[in-house]
Amino acid sequence: MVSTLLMVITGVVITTTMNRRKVVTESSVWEEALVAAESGIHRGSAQLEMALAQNSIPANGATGAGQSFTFTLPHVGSDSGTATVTYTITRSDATSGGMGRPYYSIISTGTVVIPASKTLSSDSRDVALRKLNMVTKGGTAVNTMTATRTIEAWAKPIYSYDAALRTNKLITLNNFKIFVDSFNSNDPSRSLTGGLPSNTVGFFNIAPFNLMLANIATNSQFISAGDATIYGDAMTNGGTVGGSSNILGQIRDDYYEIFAPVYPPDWAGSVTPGIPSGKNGNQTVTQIKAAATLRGGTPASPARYIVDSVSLAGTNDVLTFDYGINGNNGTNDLTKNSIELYVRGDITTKGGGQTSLDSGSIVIVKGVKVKVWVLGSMDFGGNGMTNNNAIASTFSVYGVNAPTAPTGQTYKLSGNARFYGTVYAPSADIKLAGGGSDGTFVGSLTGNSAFLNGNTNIRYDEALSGQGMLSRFVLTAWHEDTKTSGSFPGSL
Amino acid sequence: MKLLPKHLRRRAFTTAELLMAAGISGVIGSAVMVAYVGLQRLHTACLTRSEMRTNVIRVFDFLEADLRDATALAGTTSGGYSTFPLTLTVPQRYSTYETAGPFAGDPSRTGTRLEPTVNTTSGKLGFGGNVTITYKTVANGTAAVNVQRSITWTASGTQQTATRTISTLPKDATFLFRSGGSTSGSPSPITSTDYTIFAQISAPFTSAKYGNLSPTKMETPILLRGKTLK
Repeated sequence: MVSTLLMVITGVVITTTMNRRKVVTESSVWEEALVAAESGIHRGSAQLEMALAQNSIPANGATGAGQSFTFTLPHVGSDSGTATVTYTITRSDATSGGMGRPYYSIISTGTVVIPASKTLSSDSRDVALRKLNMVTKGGTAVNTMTATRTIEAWAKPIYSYDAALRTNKLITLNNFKIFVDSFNSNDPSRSLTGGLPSNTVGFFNIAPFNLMLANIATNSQFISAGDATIYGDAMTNGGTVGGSSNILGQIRDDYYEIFAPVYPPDWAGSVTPGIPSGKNGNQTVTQIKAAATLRGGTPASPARYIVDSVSLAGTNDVLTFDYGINGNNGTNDLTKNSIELYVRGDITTKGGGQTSLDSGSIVIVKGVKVKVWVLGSMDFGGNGMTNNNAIASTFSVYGVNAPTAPTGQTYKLSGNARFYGTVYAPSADIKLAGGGSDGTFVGSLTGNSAFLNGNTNIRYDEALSGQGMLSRFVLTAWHEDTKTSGSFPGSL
Repeated sequence: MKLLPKHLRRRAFTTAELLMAAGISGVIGSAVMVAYVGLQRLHTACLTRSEMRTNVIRVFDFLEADLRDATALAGTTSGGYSTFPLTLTVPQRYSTYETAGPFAGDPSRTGTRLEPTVNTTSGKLGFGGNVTITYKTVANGTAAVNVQRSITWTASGTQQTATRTISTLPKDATFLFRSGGSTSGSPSPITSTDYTIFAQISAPFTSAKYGNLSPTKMETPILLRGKTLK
């Protein structure tokens, strides 16, 4: 009798102990499956970044079908040797802001064998909760129990002009009158006639237009916002934002972005330095100190110039970017509207221009597009530059910082004229001082640091998004798929 | 009289020997029983502790998955913490959800998955709608509480709700959420601007054999990915 009782008790103990062991094992394996699934997302993300660096982002193997990859992770324990990770990268091209852009889904499944067990625990909650699998795996009968977890993530492309202001180091907005807002010169519902920003601050960022895209971001740990009004997010790299009372978007601390270096243009070695000068244009100068006109080429074959410096001071010392000449009749050839200029030193303007707002020391004729590489510093004073296109995408400044980063490179924009353009100068300390009559910068800025003072404004043109360089991908959705069968298609 | 060979002679235990043997057996048997019962109680305590930890982990399983996706959340403030009921706003990724049964609140087995769309102006990924997920506790007898997860969603224009008990814990279990500080000093309740919160579940543990022991307490940081990704 006693023996029987002891045997029954012993049997119950063994059964409950084994069941508990299964529950604990299943719980552990369940967590490992999540780690495996997430590792697939991380690897897929790294794959995209690497492809970007190699200038060869993935395409789909076939229409609607992504590329699949499988790898295993060590998983030591009983008869379970590995965790298997299978992930699929699928590209979907979508249009936004008038630009086609590549979006990627990464769907990753982590599968881990439940070790040393031929049956599941007797707790039905675990079977329901943990998607433990004894009968089938992908529709195929199997004898091995597994825990599987699946994650779907989406990667969004980011371009070099996708923010109003980005820097490596400190951003200082030194006056509460400063504002940063946005509009879209390509969208009639988000711009005035001619693609201009509204005269009213934040007009295109209040309901129903409140997209909040005028973002400012730094790789450093602090933004001194000075209670400036920001119609977008303020982002630091694990830091804080001071004077943030008027930041109307989010304040985030998860930003970090490597700014691609700027090399001299690849054509620099094949173009003879100097521009035509003199009454007959039969002289060549490499320093622009007086009135000069640079004429364009076609978009496929831009006119290219190299000079050592640009220094303009007098009222008549105006550098004009104009159309190329039609060789037959001497008139402007409107197809020759592209100019590229490499300045191996500094650009400086003082005074200059004939009126305060529509005639700067540098003038871009309406319809002409200009790209300028600057090895030295830049100082737009006086009347600064007049871009008669009034569209930021028509004037691009690249601050050269490779192969050797310059020291003391500064870009000061304080002219009277409204600046329409983009500045991408990762090593330059940028200063915007609204001492002039306008103090408005329309476009996008990237620099080493930024200091804004006085009555200065940045009006980010959302139409720039998607232009410039495709610089990185950011994950914009991350979801664990808990549906018991099938998977997300992974396409837009 | 002829005597039997010596090896065939039968000898019996004396009464004294029997009494001594019985006494020794009794002592050993009693010791074994005492030890066995003690082991049983220890075993029961270990099982109970292990099961409670599993039940706590079950709650975390659901909470973590939902919180990672949440684009907004609100709790009930209690001291320096937030606690249940906890309400989350999560993008709707499935056309509908299971309305009843052991899978209640899970994605419907017959429903479809919903992919994001791209805003043609901003380039942001978005989802068609949201679901609301609420965590709360309800009494289960006098000694336990059930942790319930309710999800409310809209399918074909009709709002639906499903509720399911995801775990059972002792009645004095606590569910605390904080955005900063520490459990030992100056915790702060969660706010709408948090991107990382700390979730803590503490369940008291009482053993019939050993009385009140240290509670099962687990705390984990959770990144609210739905709020950080855009």
